[in-house]
Amino acid sequence: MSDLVSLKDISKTYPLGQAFVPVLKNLDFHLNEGEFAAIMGPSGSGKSTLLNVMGCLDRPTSGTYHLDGEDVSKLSDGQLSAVRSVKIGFIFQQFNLIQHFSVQENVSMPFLYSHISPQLACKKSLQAIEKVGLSHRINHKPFELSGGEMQRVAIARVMATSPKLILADEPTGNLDSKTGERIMDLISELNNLGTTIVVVTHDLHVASRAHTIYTMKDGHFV
Amino acid sequence: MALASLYLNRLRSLLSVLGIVFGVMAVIIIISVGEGAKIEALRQIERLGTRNVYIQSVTLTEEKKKQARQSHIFGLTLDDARRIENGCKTVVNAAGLKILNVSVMGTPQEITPQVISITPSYGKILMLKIKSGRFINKQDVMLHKEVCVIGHDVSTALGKYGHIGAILRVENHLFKIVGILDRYHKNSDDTGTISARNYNEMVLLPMGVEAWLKRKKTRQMESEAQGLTELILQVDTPEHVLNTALVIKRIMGKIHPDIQSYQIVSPLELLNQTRKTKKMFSLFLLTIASVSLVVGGIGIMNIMLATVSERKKEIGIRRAVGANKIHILFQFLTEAAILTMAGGIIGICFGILSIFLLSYFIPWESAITAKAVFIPLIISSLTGLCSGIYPAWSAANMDPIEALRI
Repeated sequence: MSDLVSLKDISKTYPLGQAFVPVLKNLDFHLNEGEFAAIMGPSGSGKSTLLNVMGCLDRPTSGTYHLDGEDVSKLSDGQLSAVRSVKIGFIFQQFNLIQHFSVQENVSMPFLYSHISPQLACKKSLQAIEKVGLSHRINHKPFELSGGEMQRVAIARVMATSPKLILADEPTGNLDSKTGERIMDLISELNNLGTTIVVVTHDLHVASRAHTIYTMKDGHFV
Repeated sequence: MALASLYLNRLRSLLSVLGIVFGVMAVIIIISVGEGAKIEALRQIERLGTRNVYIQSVTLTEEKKKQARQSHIFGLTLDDARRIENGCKTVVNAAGLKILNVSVMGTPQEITPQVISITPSYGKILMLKIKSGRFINKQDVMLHKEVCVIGHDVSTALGKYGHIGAILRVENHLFKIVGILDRYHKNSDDTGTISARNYNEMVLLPMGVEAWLKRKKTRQMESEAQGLTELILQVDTPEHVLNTALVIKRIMGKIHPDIQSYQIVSPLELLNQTRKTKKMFSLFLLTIASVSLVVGGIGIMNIMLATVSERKKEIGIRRAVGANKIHILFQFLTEAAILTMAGGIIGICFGILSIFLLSYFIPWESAITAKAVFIPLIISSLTGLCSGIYPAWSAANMDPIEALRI
C-alpha cells in the first residue's frame, strides 16, 4: 500500500517574543492508507501541532509533507482549504458543532464549501446521520443533545464527506468511559471501511484500539 | 444561513440598523421634497413659455428720463419687435403688451381689473384659452375697434353684464365684450423676476385704442405712453432660445444705444438658474443626510465586529471543514449587506410614509421618483458593504487554529 501521509524532516517553530520556540523537530512520519495510528505523549510534546500540520490547518516551517501523493507543504491558504474540504476530516475533543445550527445543518455544513449539488449533500448527510444512529434528532440543536450524541454528530459530519484521512484530537476526552467506548467503536468502524485514522490521546485504553501507537516527547517521536 | 444568524440576534440587528433606517429616511425625504419643489418651479416657469424671450421696460430714474427725452427714445415700441423679427430668423412671433393705468367701471369693489392693451399674437404666444367668443384680432388693432376680451373673474364679477356682446366702460369709453378667457389656474406664490400674469382679473384691449383713453395729453405723458410694458418674442425651438436672446440683446443695443431702458429675460434661462440653485441646495441637504448614513455604517461595522469576535469558534470550524478565506469574507459581507439592505428598505418605507404625512404641511407636492428610491437604496448598500469589509476581512484572516482553540 502506498503512503497516504508522508512527513519528511518536518520542523515547526513558533515565535515567542524575540525568540522562536521549536515545537516539532525534524520529524519523520509515514502512514499507509487504511492505517489506524494513535499518538500519545505528555502535554506540550507537539501532538496537536503535528495534527494541525497533518490536517493542513498549519504549514510546517521546514520539511515536506506529501498527502495522498501531493506536496501540500507549499500550497497557498486557499489550496489548503480545498485539500481539507476533500481529503481530511476532523473530530475534536470539544465536538465543535455550530450551536445555532440543527444536527442536519451541522452535518451538511462542509458541503457548502465543495462543489456538490444540494440534493446530493442532503442525501449524504442524512445517510451519515442514520449511520451514527441520530435520525430521530436531525432537527435538534447541539445544546439539546448529550455529549456522546454531539460527538456522534461530529463523526457524522466527517463521514458525510468521506475523507481519506480522519484526525481525531482527544475524541473521548469530554465523555464518560462508556460513551467514549461507543465513539471509539464508530471510529474503528470507519477504519474498517478503509479510512486512515490518526487519534491523539492521553488515554491508553483509547490508544489500544489503534494498530500502531506512537509516542511523542519534545517535538519528536520516541 | 446569514439570515439565520441575523435572526438569532434580532434585537441587536434591529438596533444596529436604526442608523441606516434614519439615514435612508432622511435621504428619501430630501430627494422627494426637493424633486417636488423643482417640478413646481419648473411648472411655474414653463407657464411663461420656455420658447419665449421677454423684453421688459424698466422704470428709469429722473435723470435718465431726461436723457431719454433728449435722445427721443421712448422705451419699447412695436417697431423694436418688428426689427427684431426681421433681424433674427429664429424669432417666429412677436407680441406687445402695455399696462394701462385706467379703471373699469361697473365692477364690484372686491375686484379691480387690470387693463392692458395687446397685439393679436399675444394670445397665441401665451396660449391663452378662450372660453367663449374670440380673441382680439388684427382688424381690431388696425381699425382701432372698441372691443375687449375679459378674464374669467371679471366676467363673473360683472354678472349679467359680463357676457359676449355686452358693453364694458373703461374710463370714458365703451368697449364691446367679444371674448371671455377660460379660467386661468393661478400659482400659489409667484416670486421671481417675472411671473405669470393673473389673466382672470384682466381686461384686454386692442393695441392702439389706449390713446383715446387719455384725457389730457402732456408732452411727458406722450413720451411715456409710447413705451410698451413688455415685448414677447417667440423662438422657433427651445434650443435656440439662449442664442436668440443674445442676438436680441445686440439688436436692442443698436436700436437703443444710450440708455438701457429695458431688460431681457428668458424663462428658459430662469429655468436653468432655478435648476442650478435647486441642485446646489439638495446637494447640500444630501451631504447632511449622508452624515447620518455614515453614522449608520459605523453602527453596522460595530455590530459586525462584535459578531465576528463572538463567532470566532464558528469561523474556526468552518475553516477546518474546508472553507477558504473568501468563503468567510463573503459570509460576513453578506450578513452586513442584508443588514443594511433591510435597513434601507425599512427606511424607504418609513420615508414614503412620512412624505405622505409631510404633504399635509408643505404647500407643494412631493414627487417620489425612482431616483428618490434608488439613490438611498444604493447608498445604504454601499455603506453596508464599506462597513462590512473590515469585519469580514478580519474574520477571513483569522488563524483557524487560534479560532478553534477557544
